[in-house]
Amino acid sequence: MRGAAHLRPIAEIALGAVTARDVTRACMTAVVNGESGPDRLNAFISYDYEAALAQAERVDADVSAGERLRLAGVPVAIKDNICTLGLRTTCASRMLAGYRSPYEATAVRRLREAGAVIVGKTNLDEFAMGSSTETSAFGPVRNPHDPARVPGGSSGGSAAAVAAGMVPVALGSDTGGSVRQPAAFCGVVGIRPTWGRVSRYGLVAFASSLDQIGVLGRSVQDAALLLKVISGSDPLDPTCAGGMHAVAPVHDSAEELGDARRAVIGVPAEYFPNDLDPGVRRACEQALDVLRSAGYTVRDVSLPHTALAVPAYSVLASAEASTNLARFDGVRYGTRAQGGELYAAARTAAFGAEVKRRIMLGTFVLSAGHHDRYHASAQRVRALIARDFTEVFAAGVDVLFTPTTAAPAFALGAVSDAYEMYAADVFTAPASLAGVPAMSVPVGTADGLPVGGQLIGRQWGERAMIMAGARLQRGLRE
Amino acid sequence: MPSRDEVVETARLAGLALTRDEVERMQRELDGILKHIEALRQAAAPAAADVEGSVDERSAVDTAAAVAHVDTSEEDRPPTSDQLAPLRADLPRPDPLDMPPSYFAPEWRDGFFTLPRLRTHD
Repeated sequence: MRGAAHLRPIAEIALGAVTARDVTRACMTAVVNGESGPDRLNAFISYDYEAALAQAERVDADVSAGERLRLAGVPVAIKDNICTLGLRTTCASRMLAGYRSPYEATAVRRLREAGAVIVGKTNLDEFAMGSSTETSAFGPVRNPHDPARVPGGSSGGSAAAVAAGMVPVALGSDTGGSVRQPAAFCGVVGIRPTWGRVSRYGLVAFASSLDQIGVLGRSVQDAALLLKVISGSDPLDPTCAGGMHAVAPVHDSAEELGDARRAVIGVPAEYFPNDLDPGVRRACEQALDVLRSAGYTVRDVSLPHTALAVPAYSVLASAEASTNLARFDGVRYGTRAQGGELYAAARTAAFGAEVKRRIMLGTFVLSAGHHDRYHASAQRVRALIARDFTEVFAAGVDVLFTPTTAAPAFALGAVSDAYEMYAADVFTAPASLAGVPAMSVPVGTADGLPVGGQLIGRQWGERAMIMAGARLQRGLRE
Repeated sequence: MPSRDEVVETARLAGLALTRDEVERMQRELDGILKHIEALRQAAAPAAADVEGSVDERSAVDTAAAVAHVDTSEEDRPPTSDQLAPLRADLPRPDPLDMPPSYFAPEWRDGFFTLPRLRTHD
């Protein structure tokens, strides 16, 4: 697979040494092969070979006519909770099994206008609620590194597709860690931008104050370039602010990356508990040595409210989900059921168990008599968690470094307790609650399974975070 | 543990139809999750006192605004949400919009609104 036309750095693909048609054909061949037979990963819910080739031919014609397209011919997979034209948008739910969106997401439109080829829609936990991609109505996704293990979630399909070499880059969505955690489990790069960096227009809402479209790629450079193209203010999303003016250099030469003298990496003690997997600890400590060699000063810091992040996230995300999913009633869109009261029958038949559980939890914590005890308390704790990050960055830390997950990928079916699954987001939920950017970079292996290291930047601080990721990636390769 | 009635009412608010077995299972599952979440209440209580020196219940917006202005003098602080839009007590009450259909129409007969006949239907 290495050396295949569609797996070169995407900036090189866009230069056009190989036609978009040939790149797309190589990519779609990999997708069809990877999704066929008993060993299929089930990373895709839908793809269309002919439609992808038609897009590629249009890109080739535009390039021949003199257009300069930043992502000319780059194949991209899109998580299936992001609206696209042509292909269905199912959110991996029976509720939207046949839904074709009448509009496309701003992020997808920006990719197409840059010449990217949308090759298919990837599998996910139903309505992005999960950390393993086991709750999809279309079946679970397998981890390319060990098919008996989960790829992580909820963007497990996107992470698996990139890790397996089916596509070079993909879009995912990250609410409590759903880009970073599968990136770590699958050994690829995953970036969650600052909340408000990328338009949420066309992203099916789960928890609106936490959701962000994120990117996955085989390198920091690929992921950062994709993020740059999709980011920026959008009149269709009033919560979306500014674009990225800088991105990691295309080539990770020492000259371009420079050194990091006077830059400070903070290491929060709360993310290195005694029961951290020893392999994860070893890989992260090696990564810190690499960052020191690159010139960073490494400083111990504290984010004292970290342990409250999963409880707070569980309440706030479920509360917002219960509101956002109220629209799926089997009338305007969604599956319509027979018998019983119309709305309840449709929703009960079409939603899976995890979605129903989160809707129930969210409704409960918002209901009269329980709101102050749970939801208002979670809001206050969220402010405390955000303040932890603000104070650490104000004290001179440029970027934080932590493990992305407490352990490598677990086995399919291994986690059945709901809260135990929520706890898989223990290291990723805090950055989501604070609205700061975070990325996972592969930093090694533990028992043969990928380990991810998480870099966290200050609000709008993607540049420093991405540069640290690029230096880390280069140092680990040497 | 949430009571059976609480789970049934929550399901009604959520637009979900649960069977008897599902209600019991949901009671156990919610209880398991809520046990972990109880720590929030304890953590949130000192936060209100920490920010403004008061143990009064405070909205999350107030807390967020206060921590964002931690270096600002008392005079510079923006008005709190309690001052701009006081919250009502977190108690159940009848819904003022829960009125029967007959309230909205001058005539109501056999479950239908009655309307003037259109000339085009003559």
